Amino acid sequence: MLPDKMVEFVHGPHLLFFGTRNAKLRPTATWAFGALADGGDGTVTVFVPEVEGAATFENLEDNGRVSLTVSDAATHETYQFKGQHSLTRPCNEADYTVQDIHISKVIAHLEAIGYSGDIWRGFIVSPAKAVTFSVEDIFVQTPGPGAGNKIDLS
Amino acid sequence: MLPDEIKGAMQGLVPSTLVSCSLEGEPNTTEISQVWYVDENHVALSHQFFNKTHRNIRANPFVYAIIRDPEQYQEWHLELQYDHSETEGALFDEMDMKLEAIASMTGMGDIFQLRAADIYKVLSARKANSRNIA
Repeated sequence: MLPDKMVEFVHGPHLLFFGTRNAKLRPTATWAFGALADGGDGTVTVFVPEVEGAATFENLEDNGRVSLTVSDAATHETYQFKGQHSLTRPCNEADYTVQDIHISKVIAHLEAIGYSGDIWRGFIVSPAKAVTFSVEDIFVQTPGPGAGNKIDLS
Repeated sequence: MLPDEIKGAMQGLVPSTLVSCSLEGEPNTTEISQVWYVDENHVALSHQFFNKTHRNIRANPFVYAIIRDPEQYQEWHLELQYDHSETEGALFDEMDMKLEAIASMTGMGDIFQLRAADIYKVLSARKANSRNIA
């Protein structure tokens, strides 16, 4: 189960950074653009562009441990989702629609605080793969006294 | 190892992404305010909070960072190995001053505090292919 607030936050105009690691515990990072959270199943699916995704996809095959940071660049509100990879597949038309909507929302949200829309339009976001993982923990990462606190998923 | 053109992505104007990993194999992804050019083989990262990243790098020194040029948003990917921390001296003072400016610009004046300049050896650095830049 994912709290409604976390589902809404994943679907918001926020920046998505995806971390994994290899068998030697060397980490890597990449962007994700667009995500779908299933509160009932407790899963999140993110759309990871292939252009910089090779190491990430290898790590998912190897061990599947994932870390997703979802950040509101305007307010600094940030949460980190941790869990276990379950499925990777090529993005379909519906996924790319979600990805387009996500980028449009990010542009509208962040232009208001001075980030040019060209920043987000300039990323190579397709082809991409849809990566699904089961959420085991969510941590507050907003800078401040509550940082590091675990969100109750019961 | 670090080319001159990477320095534009080390101004602290755009947050960087950092992934560390615990000895139990849990990756940890976070944003950091500063990746600072020390010399062609070393960078310094701002250590602002006692957090999971801080615990991880003491157990497993290998981290991955993505830094960004604020002009064209060109990204660079860095593989780094933690070396040591500095809590005083010229580098610490410079980073502290810059962090104060960043905190002021971002409304985080009461939150951001430089605890240490963490020095990392650069294992690799490459320009990312993530963007269409003319």
